This record gives sequence, structure tokens and C-alpha cells, in this order.
Amino acid sequence: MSEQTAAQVAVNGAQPSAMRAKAKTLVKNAFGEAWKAKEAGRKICYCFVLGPAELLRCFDMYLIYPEISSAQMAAKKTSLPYIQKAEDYGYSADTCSYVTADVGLYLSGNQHPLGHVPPPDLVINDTLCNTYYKWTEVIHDFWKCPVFSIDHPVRLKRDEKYPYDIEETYQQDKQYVVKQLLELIAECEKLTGIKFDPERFRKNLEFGNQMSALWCEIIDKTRNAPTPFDAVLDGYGYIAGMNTHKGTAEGVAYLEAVKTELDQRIVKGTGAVAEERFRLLWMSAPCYPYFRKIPEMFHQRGATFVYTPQFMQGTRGTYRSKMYDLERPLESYAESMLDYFHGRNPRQAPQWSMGWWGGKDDIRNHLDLMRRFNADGIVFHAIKSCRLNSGGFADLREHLSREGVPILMLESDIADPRFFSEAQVKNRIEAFMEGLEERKYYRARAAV
Amino acid sequence: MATIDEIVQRCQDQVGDLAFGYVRDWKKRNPQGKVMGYFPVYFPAEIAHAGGILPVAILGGGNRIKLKQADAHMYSFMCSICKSTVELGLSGRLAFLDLFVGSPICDAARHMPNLMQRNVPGLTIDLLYYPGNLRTELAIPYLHREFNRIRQLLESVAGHAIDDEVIRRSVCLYNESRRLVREIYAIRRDSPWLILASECYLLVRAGTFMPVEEHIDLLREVLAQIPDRHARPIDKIRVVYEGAFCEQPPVEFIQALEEVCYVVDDDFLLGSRLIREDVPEDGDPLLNLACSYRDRSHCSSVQHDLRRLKSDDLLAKCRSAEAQAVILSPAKFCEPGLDDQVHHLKRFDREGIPSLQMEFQERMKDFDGVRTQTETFAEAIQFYAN
Ligand code: SF4
Repeated sequence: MSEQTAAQVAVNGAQPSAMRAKAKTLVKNAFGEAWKAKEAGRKICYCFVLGPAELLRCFDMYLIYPEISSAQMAAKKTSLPYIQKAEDYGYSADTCSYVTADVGLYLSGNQHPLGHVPPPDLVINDTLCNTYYKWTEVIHDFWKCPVFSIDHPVRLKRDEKYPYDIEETYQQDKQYVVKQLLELIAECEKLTGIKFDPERFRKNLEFGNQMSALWCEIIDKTRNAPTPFDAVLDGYGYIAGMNTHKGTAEGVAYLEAVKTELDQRIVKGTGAVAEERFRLLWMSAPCYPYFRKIPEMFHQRGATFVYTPQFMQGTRGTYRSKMYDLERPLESYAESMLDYFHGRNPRQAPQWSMGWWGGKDDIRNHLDLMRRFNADGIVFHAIKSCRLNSGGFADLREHLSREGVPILMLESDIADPRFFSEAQVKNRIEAFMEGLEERKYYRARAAV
Repeated sequence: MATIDEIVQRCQDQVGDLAFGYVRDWKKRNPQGKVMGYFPVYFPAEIAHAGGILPVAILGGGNRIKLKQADAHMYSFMCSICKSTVELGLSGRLAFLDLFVGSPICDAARHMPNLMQRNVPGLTIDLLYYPGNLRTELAIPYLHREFNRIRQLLESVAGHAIDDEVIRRSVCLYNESRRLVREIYAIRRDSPWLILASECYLLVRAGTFMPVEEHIDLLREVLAQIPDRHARPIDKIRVVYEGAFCEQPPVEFIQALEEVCYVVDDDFLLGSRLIREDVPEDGDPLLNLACSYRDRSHCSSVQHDLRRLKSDDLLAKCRSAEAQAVILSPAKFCEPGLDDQVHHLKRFDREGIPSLQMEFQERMKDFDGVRTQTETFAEAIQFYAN
């Protein structure tokens, strides 16, 4: 039990992934060293997780990830006092709780449970969600720092024929993003006094490519039965570990270690749970204040999570079948941002679209995922304060239920523990699992 | 000639008509005519108009619609306008539309067109994506291209080309309609007893579904009669209302406010008035519209432009309207509005200008609470003023 405590041993006796514990150390260090970096003269950049980390690293900036910061407060069970501070200040309980936790941090002298977080010299947001834009404005209100937005247009997947040339639109959108990246480079040069080094950028993208390749292999390992890791409990740990180290040798080393561990587990037949009876898909981010509790309620019934679209969605750059093209790095980088919404083919929604923009493709994609991961059902986790993640779930449930997919809808929040009701969640899980048991029984009987 | 009261009443009936009777009649009168719907905040209606297409803002179902189907498809914590717009679609009330254009202005609005696409067969849907970064000059060529793409889309609906010259003529008409609306707002700032905020709201709202030519006539008719209105000033506080840039409060909500105070400026139906000056009438009309969106517009919670603070804009509005206070009232579950409420609140606190915070919902039906809250607020202001 090198990097794990007794408490981390899975409830049903299986050995949890050691690399999940390692991710904790990586994230902890990423915060703990921030102030030292500031004192050493490095510029502090707040950058959302899908932001251009590989590019910013070319300027020796120290990156702080606001969502990871709030998620960590929640996972350490310390988010509520921060959120309440923000509410006392005026923010609504209907605002994204990542934002209110972050505001609470600013109102608490930036004292984070993982260390003292320095204020930003620059904030960068992108178009993953519109809340990023508002969040950036909030950060600006507090710190009056320069702000840069990388805007990548969102397009709707359409079934009918387009009256305009979609490929041309894509190419134009790409040029729009490339030009913004050039503006960002100029701004970073001015701020840090460091000249942009294309070679260094290429090197970072190369690390990014290696990480993508490893990550794609890793997430495919859950197709194994039993799955060697739980997509929620372990998977989100891996995501945090890699997102804090995107485009670095450490990131590559970390994912190599994850892969090695998982290969060993597969050889030994070690699953995420001791006896895997049900395989489920988890849609959305976890309830961080009860990060372990919810998956463990499933584990107790022999159910484990084998996939979440956040594997792709929460890790820009990894989801493409194509890697960064090192011959045309900036363009390729811009494509990674646009492809986030389109997939490379604007006529087809990407598989990680959770009901946001894929039209009917979203239904087909969910059914494909069920088949690909040999899953027994889907758990939608509706996050109270995140409309982007949760807005499409009710509709997906309607459509997928008609296709005979067992669905469970759970409601809680990413960072606000007040929206988690243990009794209610437990009851729903129990009822859902009963349903799956019954289904299994009748299927087995029918097969005889 | 109809009186202002009669015109306003007619507008109110049309606004409350969930069957979009006015638009259906227009279609009957113009059998070849096409109709496009757009979701707030803003759409360059000039381009549709130039194509002979009637642009109609789809502003939800107000407080008369029952959510019979939308609730099953939508997340509980979404704002009401998104839900009721989907209800309009699911219940077949938007069947008259030849095209619906949404804009991903917020996380909730990102879902809405997608939900419609999945569940409202036969409705053609597309997105108009506004630049998220207005600070950079790059926003203009981007938006110019985007408006061109929208032109192509509208051409496919109209079945013919929409050339620059025709758009320029439409720009002139819309400039005229915006000028007339600005005139009414100027009267409200000056003599708010002559035309009430709720009346002004209904008059402007009529322009979100009727052809601009007709709307211009309507506004001219009203403006001609305002000076002869028999109304006297009452001792009420003067406030500016902020928060209804997208979802609209029920008209009874506005009436409840103005029982207590004069609402001398606001952001109701902001999309209709987003462009605050005339759009240049010469040159490339789509480029002019793009530049106007970036550089001649009011602030809204869903435009991101840190060249200027939103609270600077609101403060200037209050000062030019000589308002004593501001009512900060976003729609329930409207995250962009809720976030800006705090931004404004802190600024107004620093400036020593009183603010009242409340939320509204388009579907609300009980306004006693609104009245009481506003009364208490107004009394406190009057007490300190005396
Ligand atoms: S009311 Fe607010 S949350 Fe709702 S669609 Fe409009 S901007 Fe978005």
C-alpha cells in the first residue's frame, strides 16, 4: 500500500488504483508550489482546464486551474464555507458552485486547503462553457488583471443539407482561432518578457501527442472485463493528474505509470470491484463533496463505471483520432479547440457530446457507447449548478428509455454539498440496481 | 385614429397570443412570405427583412403557457424562457416558422436549439454564434463572415439572393424604427408620466413580430399623441431597471413596479435596442452591422467585452435619466444575469446609489411581493431624501 491509505481500499475488497493516489500528489504539488513560483518571479496565469496550457508553458507561466481549485476544495470537504462567503457577498446559490467556491477563496485571502494561491497576472478563458466567460469577468472584478478569451465558435450539427459550405466555415473558424492565438502569444511575450519559441511549443505538443496516445489506450482498458479501474473514482483522479501536467514530460511519465499499473491489473485480473456484476456509463462530472460515497454505493452492488464522456470532454487534445500535426502546430492547435465541438466532421457530432449540440447523433452516440463498453445502463448525474453538463439529460433520458436503456438520474452538485441527499441518492440507486438485477435474471432465464 | 391606450391594448393582446395570430394573419396576407424566428438577445433583422422574410423574436411563452411537455425534456434549474420556448416548439405552436435561429449566449441557451432539433421534426434550425471576445479587432471580420453565412441561410429560405443594396434599404428602415424607440425612451427619461414603462415595453415588443414598416407607423402614431396626453407628474422615485435583457418579465410585473416608482430607463427587450446609434447606411451593410454590434451597442450580460465595464454603462444610464436608484432584477436561474447583479451591486454601493435586488420569472402570476418590496425600498429612499 505505497501511496494509498487503508481508507482508500475499495469497499468490496478490490485494490484501488495506486495511480489515483499519485494523481492527488501531483495536484497537491501543483498548488503547493504556486507561491514559490510567484516569488521566483514567474507570472501566474489562471487558465481553465481546456485552455492552451501547452502554449502558455512556452512563457514559463505558472498555471492555476480554477475548476480544479474548486473541485479540490469540494473533494477536501471544505467548499461549503467558501461558497457561503460568496453568497454572503451577493452571489446566488443558482450560480455555478465552482464559481462561488472560487469567489469564497478570494474573500478568504486566497487560502486554499492545498496552499496559498497567488492572484493572477493573466486569466485565459475559452468557449467550453459560457460560465467561463462570466467567471473570467468575476475574476477581473476581483483582481483587475488582464484577461484573454480564446473564442472558438460553436456550430450546430445539422441533419439537412447546409446552404453554405461547412468545410469553408470550418476553415474560416480555424483561421479566426489561429489569429487569436497569435494575439495571445504577443500578449504573453509582453507580460513575461519571454520570446515565443516555436521549437519549445512543438516539443510541448509532442508531449501532448504522447499523452493523447497513452490516454486513448488507458480509457480503452475499461472494455476489459473486469474493468481494471473505475471511470469515476479512478478516472477522475487520472484526469486531474494529467490536466495539471498537460504538455509536459511529467504528464507523459504519469500516464505511462497509469498504463503500466492497469496492464498489471489486467494480467492479474484485478478489477475495480472484487466481483464485477454490472458495468455502467457515468454522464457528467462527479459530486466532488461526496466523491467516493456515490461510486461506492454502486460498488457495494457489484456495479462499476466503465466510461464517462468527460474522458474526452474534460481533456482537450486527447480526443482526436488525429494527433497535433507538428508541421503546422498553431493550426493544428486551433483544430483541437474547434474539434471539441464538431468532431473533425461537422456533419457528425462527437461522441462526447452529452446532449449539447449533436441533435439525433447524441442518441446514437450513447447507444454506441453502451455497445462499445458492453454497459448495462447509464447514470446521468444532473449537477444542480451546471446547466451545460446537465441541460440535456432529461431529454436524453426520454429518448434512451424508449430504446430500452436502463437509466438512473441522480441529482447533486459538483461543489455544493447542500444539494446531496444521502437517503434520496441511496434509495434511487437501490431501486435502479434492483431493476438491473431483475433484468439480468430474466435475460439469463430467457437464454436458457 | 386609435388612442395610445387603444394601441397599447392591441399590442398587449397580440403579445399575449400564444397562437401568434398576428404572424399567422401576416402569412395569410402574404402567401409567398416566409417567417423566421430567433431567440434573444439579438438578431440582425435587417438581413431577414431584406429577403422578404418576417423576423419574429421567440421570447418564450410568458405566464400564460402551461409546460405540459417541456418539463419532461428539460432540466429543472433552467430559466423559464428556455423551457417555454421548447414548449412552444413541442406543442406545435412554432409550426409557422420556416427557420429558427438560436444563439449559444449562455449554457442554457446552448441546449435549447439542440433539444428543438431532436424533438420538433420539420423545424429548420441553425445557430448564429456571436464572437465571445469583443475586445479584439478580430471580432469584426469574424462577425462579418458570420452575418454573410446567415445571409446565405436566409437566401435559401427566401429562395432568392439578398443583395447589399436591399439590405442597405432595410438598414435605413431599422434605423428609423430605432430612432423612434429612442425618442420614446427620451420622453420617458424626461417626463415618465407621459408614457409608462409598461406601455413602452408593449410598444417595443410589437416590433419583435410585426414588419418594421408597420411598427414605424405605430410608433409615429403614438409619438404624435404623447404631448397631448393628460397626465400629471406624481411624487414617485425614479429608478432604472436592469436584468431583463433576455427573458422578459410579465407586463403585470412592470406595472407593479410603476405603481410605486417611475421606471425611467431599462433593459427590457434589449435586443431590439441593442444598437444604440444609427447603423451607417452606406458601404458594406453586413460589415456595418458587424461593427455596430461590437462598437455601437449597449452592454448585455451575454456580451463579453472588457474594454468597458457593464456597470459603467448602467451608471451612465442612471445618471442621464437622473435616477435615484436602480432595480437589479435578473430572471430566475439566469446565470449571466445573476453574476452581473453582483457586479452592479458592488459598483452602486461604492457610488452610494441605492439598489434593490429581486428576481423575476416570466411565468410568475403573483405580484404582491414585488409591489411590497418596491414600496419598502421606495419609502426608505424617500425617507432619507427628506
Ligand atoms: S434568460 Fe439568461 S439563462 Fe436564460 S437563456 Fe437568457 S441569458 Fe440564458
